[in-house]
Amino acid sequence: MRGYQARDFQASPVTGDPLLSLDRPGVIPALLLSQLVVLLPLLFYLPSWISFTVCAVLMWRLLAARQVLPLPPRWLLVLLTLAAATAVFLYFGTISGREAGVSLVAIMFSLKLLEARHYRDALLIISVSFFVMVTGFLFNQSWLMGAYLLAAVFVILACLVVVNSLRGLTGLKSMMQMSGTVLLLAIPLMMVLFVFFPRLPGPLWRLPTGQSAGSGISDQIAPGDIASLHLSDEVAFRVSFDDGAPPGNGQYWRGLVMTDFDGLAWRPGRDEAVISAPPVVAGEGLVNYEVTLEPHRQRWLFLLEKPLTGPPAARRYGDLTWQTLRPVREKLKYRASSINSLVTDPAISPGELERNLALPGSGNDRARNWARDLRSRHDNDQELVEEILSTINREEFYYTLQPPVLEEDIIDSFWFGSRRGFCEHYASALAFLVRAAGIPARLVAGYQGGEYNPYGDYWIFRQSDAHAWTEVYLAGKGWRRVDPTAAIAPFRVEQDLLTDQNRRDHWLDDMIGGQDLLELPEGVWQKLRLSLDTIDAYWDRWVLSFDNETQNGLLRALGFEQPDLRLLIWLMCGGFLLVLGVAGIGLFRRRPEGDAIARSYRVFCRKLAKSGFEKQLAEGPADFVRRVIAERPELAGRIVPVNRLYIRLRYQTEAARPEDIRRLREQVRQLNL
Amino acid sequence: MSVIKATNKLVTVQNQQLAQLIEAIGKVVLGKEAQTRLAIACLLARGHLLIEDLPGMGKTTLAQVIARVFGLEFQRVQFTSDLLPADILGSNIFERSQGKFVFHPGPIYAQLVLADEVNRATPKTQSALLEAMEEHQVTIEGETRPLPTPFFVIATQNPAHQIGTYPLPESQLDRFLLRVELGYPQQEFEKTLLKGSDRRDLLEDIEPVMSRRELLALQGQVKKVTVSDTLVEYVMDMVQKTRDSAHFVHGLSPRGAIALIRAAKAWALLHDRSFVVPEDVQQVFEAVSLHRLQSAGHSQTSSQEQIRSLLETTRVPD
Repeated sequence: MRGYQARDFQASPVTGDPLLSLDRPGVIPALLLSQLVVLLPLLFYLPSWISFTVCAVLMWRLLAARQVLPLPPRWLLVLLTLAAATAVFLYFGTISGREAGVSLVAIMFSLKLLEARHYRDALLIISVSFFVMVTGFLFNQSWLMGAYLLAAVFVILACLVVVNSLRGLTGLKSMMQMSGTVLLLAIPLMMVLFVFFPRLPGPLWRLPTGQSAGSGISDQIAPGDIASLHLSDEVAFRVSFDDGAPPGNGQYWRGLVMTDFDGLAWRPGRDEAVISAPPVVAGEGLVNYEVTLEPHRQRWLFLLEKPLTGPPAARRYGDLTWQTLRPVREKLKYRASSINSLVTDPAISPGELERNLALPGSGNDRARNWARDLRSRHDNDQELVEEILSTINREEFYYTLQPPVLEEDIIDSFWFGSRRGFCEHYASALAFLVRAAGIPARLVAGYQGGEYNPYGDYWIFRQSDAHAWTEVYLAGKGWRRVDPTAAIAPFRVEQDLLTDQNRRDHWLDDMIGGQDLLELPEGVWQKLRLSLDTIDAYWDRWVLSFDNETQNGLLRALGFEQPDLRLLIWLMCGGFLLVLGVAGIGLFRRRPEGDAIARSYRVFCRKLAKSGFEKQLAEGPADFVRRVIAERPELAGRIVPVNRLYIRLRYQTEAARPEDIRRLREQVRQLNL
Repeated sequence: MSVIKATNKLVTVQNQQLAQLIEAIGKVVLGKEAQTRLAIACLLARGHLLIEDLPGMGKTTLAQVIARVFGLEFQRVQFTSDLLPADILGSNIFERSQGKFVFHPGPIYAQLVLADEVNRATPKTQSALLEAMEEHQVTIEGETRPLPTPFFVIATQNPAHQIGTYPLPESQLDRFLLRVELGYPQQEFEKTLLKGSDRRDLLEDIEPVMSRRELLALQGQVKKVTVSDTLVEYVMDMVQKTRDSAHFVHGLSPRGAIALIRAAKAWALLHDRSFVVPEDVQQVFEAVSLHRLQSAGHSQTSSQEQIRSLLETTRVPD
């Protein structure tokens, strides 16, 4: 700890001491900086007027430090505080809850700067910075936020160094060095706390959900719903297969099945029977996998088509979907299996039959007629469905993300009018037409496609992979998947959509200014994205999902039979003290340890000690080596030059050159006795 | 001495020249090489030497031979209880032929002064000598006269318990850079001594090995010997131990510490090195500190032991 002399830093809060006033160079900017790094991530999540107020206050303080503006008098401060609290209350209708609470804290925190006049206030601001910083995790728990806040701790510590330095900001390097050292020293403590801090089952606090609903597939599908999802790159879930992905690239992941159509939107049936009897299984093709589902605040889970078993905590429905008992508000990990050759009981109950044939009372008459006409030409259900698909393929049907606005009878105006749409248009139209022809049909919403991450060996399904398709009931065969979107002729799929992926690969080139400057190999962007996603997955696995169960498992692995809260607290305190003790001993022993020359010499002495020559306490280096040589003259050639260099570095030159010190270390290292 | 070699050499005592010095002195003073080296180091460091031992151990002979090998003017003053300051320093005597007072310099005006049995004189006379030693000049009746260079005093004293002595006070002992004891000669040397010719005759045959200029140059070199921070820390540790020890009335003063470093520098130079190593300090430590440290009511031998154990327990820095 050389260099941390007390002369530079004084910790006693002597408010009257002019040395500790806030007028020292760099102190006010340091406080501003510490507030700014803390508030910056929050500004993305809070209403803009909060951000504006916070920035205005920080600016005010900066101008006051430059003596452009005076600091506000006490009465004005009180008024401002009350006004801010009122404004928050009026805006949110409450002052508790995530958004309102954090908004209030952010404003109050920045206002504190306006009344900071003393050293004490500065310390308070720095300490509160550490607290307010954590609120960032209330909004975002990704590793990016973690990395940002770690950097923020570094900055705040550096500001603390400035606040406590008698001469204020003197050098960026020394300030950052100290801050970095402190941060590094704190990491073992952080690890101990992370591993042993008691975890509550479930989240520590329950937050009202606020306005932001979980993104993803919702419980109704109307034209345009999935198209809007397609624009989002957000991850829906990740899958790792036990024995590699099943062959074929058409992974259909079932989320929920919709049977009720009101002429505009599809909704799930209200009372799907829960079935407990396992479906009939035949043949091979079992796939086991683990899904990590991002919180979507819904109850349904996603399983690969033809699911066999799902997570035990979820309920299985007759339409082969699984639902949890409570909405998924945190990341959820579950195991499931699917089997390619799943055969379900082809029987269908009269109630189910009726529900899957139901059409709205009126509307879409042209489509109904068209379907009836089709029915008259085809007796076979399967042929009828195939005829519809070939119509889609043959006629001028386009697949586009920007379908035109549909008229009142949306099936009619899509099927006979625009003929442009996204998957839900096609699935919806197909289901309607098939039902109109008297064949049971339903809509399935889920994900299809996915992207393989070779770095982490898992599949990523994003919101852009959201998909809807149709299932048709064929008598004697049961439900069959029919994906009308796949029937569209490839040349009528809008170029935009096909080139979407390609464009993503090249936008980086465009930004840099053309391929001449930087020849990026194909797919660099994709690789980068996958690498980042891998970090994300590891962050999930090792940090976010380290809950009380993982913790207990770890403790059991360490040999504790029955981990309980008391044990955790003991371990935590013990670990804490252990780390402090080790650090303390390290600091304590550091002083006699001395510099690099001494360290090298100690290694030298240790090597000689192994050969049986222990250096006496009061023995000078030359005497020592002389004694060794007297007994083992053959060593002279090896040890005398090293010893001579050591003596020269230690006693001859006042300031030994770094290369000489390195040479000594190298010679000692290579010394072989 | 081959283990340590300075890389940027000063004009140091050549090993050969050193060997010659030791050899020449050794012809006369038998078997006292360690004391001889210390005496030479003391001379190089511009200090003064105190030889303490029983009468007849060869103190005077050592002083004389040193004067011979360095080719220095030599004066000997036998201190007695009736010796007056003027007998040493000289005095103004009325010269009738010239009709005025003329200064008659005393025996102190020599390059090497042997003050024999210095503790037999009264404190007044002792202090006159010691003042001249310190100041390198003599002031009589308002007139200041510089002493010659080099100026080297070798004082001898009988052990304090002998009858009829005025022991030197600590403050004056401090003026001597080093103190050595001669001790009885070893058997073989004593045999040679008894069989051989008179020492005084041998002295006549000794030729100077080094000129006065060479000696002055060497004295100038001592100042240039470097002392590293590590060594200073080592010396400070050692000095602190004398201060902490219950065995001594007081520890070494800062002047004592300076003396230690000075002597160590001369010792280093004597051993052909331009920097001081802990071994140098260890070699001169006893000679520097024994007369400066007053034992707290114990006999002197135990002081010596104490100093040796102190040397053994002071850690040499890595």
